[in-house]
Amino acid sequence: MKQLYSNKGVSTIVGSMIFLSIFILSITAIIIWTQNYVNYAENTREELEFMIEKSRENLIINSINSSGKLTLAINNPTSQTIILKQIWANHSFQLGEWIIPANSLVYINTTLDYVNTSKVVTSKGNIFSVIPKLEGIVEKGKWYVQWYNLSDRRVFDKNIGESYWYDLCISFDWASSITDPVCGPYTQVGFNATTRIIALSSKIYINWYVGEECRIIVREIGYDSDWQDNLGYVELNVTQNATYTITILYSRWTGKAFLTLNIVNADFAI
Amino acid sequence: MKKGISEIVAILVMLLIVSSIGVVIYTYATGYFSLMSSAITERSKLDINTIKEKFVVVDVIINKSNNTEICAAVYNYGKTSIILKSMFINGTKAITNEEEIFPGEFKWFNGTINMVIPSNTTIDLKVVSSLGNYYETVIFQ
Repeated sequence: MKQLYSNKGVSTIVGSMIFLSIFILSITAIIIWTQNYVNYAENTREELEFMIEKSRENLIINSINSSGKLTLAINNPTSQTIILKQIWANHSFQLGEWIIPANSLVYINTTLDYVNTSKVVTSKGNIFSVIPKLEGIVEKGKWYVQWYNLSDRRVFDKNIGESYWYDLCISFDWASSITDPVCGPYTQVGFNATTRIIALSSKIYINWYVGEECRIIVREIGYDSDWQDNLGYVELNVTQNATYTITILYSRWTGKAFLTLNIVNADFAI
Repeated sequence: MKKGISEIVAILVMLLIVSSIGVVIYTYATGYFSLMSSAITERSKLDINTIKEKFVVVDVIINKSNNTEICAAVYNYGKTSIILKSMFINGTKAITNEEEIFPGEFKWFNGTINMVIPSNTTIDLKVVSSLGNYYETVIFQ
């Protein structure tokens, strides 16, 4: 009996040791697993902070032709310092590190040849472009509109200013009589609006309702509607996903000034 | 006397059996937990590297002859090296060579497809890394 008690104690110790070992192992595994998730969560948090900082970066860039070389006037309107790593002009590039302090304007002289299309890349991976210009300053994603005072119907001889429209559909309805000026002090006005569009289908439809006259030109396919009054539409055969330059001319002489123009199966080219 | 010997033998046999089973369980548990721990650690490292990997296509050159070659300038703005594995042009996998790009650097990553893409159309370009991250851009030519 005495012997039995003694052996029972040994097996209890052996059993306990095995149990404890397995228990410690499982606890260790749980700690490692938890630690890995903590590391992952911490890295995710850092990356989110980085993404937030990245999304806050913003630059306004103008290019200057300095004796054939590209100079950039870079305005940083944000409250954080931005570091530029690359400057591209067409497919040529210059590497370096240019610091643009918060809320400041910095001029950067490059060794690159001046071109219309250039861009910069920041240390956080953002790309800011000097937007390509067409016919003066047509920019992506909007209409570039040049306003004129007319000396006669359809005669665009005195430029009175410029503006941008951000909707592909044009719609305005101004004064009802000839005595009301429709643009500042001017009564006889016209405009020339140009943008780049991308065709979403193989057919584009343009419809309009105008007072007094408008004219639609699509450069790439050689389409010119000539001057149109009242309402109408046109169906254009195009290549899907191709980009086109579209110009709208508008002339108002004496009548009611309004225009509703809609383009179907197209969007601003990005 | 005989009874005493058989008791001792029985106890020894029992101890042997219990110890053997214990050792087997312990060995299995050790192997299982170490395998699980290393798998979790590896998976965690992979996940962390995947979220740390960051790249952008900053410029694209298109060369056309009998086929279309696209040269994409890829900038690594993350904190880890990236390995570029493949390129897709309008959904078609291009023939490429692997490129490793270190943090803060950029390299040209070239891909070729055996078809000519017509002018005045868009090109959907996708560059894929070894960890499965990708950067997609649309080019107007």
